[in-house]
Amino acid sequence: MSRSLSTRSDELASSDGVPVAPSPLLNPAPSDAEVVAEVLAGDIARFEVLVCRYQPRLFGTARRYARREDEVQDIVQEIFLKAFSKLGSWRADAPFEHWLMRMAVHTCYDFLRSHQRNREHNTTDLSDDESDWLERHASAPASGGHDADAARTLVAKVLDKLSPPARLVITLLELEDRSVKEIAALTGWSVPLVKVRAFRARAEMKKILRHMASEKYL
Amino acid sequence: MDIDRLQTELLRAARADRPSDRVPLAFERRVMARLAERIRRDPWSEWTAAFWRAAMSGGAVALLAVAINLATPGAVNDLAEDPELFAVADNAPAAAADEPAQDLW
Repeated sequence: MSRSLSTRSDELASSDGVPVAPSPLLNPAPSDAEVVAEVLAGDIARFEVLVCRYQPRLFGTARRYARREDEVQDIVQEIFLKAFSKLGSWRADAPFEHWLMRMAVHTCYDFLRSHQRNREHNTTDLSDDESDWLERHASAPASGGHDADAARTLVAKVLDKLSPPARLVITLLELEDRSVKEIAALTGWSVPLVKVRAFRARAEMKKILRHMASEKYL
Repeated sequence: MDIDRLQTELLRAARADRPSDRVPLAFERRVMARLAERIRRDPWSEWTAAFWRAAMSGGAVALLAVAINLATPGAVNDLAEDPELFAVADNAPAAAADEPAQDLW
């Protein structure tokens, strides 16, 4: 279809004798399935189309799990390299994006497991703003939302202390608002396992917060 | 301190803080270069993988055959204890010796 349209556009340009840039309407972007077929047929350079199409999404996802920019770039690169090597296993009955996101979640989970760090911190790691935020929350819980930046950095530190499965499930369930079914499809875990891990993750997070609060106020 | 409330507020703050989807300049070129490098660096990887797969399947078949053999020892014993089988086998050379030599040619 796109081939026939672009040919017609070429004919029009040659009959006028004036070179005309191909219109995006006449030459629509190829579908994921078309690009994948071309890559599998040996045109490896076409993989760049998929990279350009999905890299913003993957950067957004990877930044939820890694803070340092070089780590984020390594994660995204790893996702694309894995996707390329397993491209033949994609079945066109599901959207390519879903398949890629599953790979992204697995890669981020592997990253979390291999970088289990900073989990033994105590409240002395909290900045003044974060301590103030906690103090304000302790004195007047309803007014906690004033310093949003402090809350964000505080929650980043709490998430860093969670175990990899807990962090993954909290991120997908609470921060990305995904359903249990979606999480099961993304992670490959069963639905009951996702529920159990979500329950444990919330308990783990509460334990960390309780520990922070007790270190600060007792 | 109300921990439940604290958790809810922190999660709300985290939810409001959507990470940026900004892409570093020419990142796609970096990925493509790494891809080309990987393909160039390891041209025998497909062969190696195929050989490994073949070796693994061969090993699996061998293990399966051993397992089947071990799991069915009764069949071998039954044959060994079958008197008629050995009677036929014992008589076979004698029967062959009785045949005229020209029949063999």
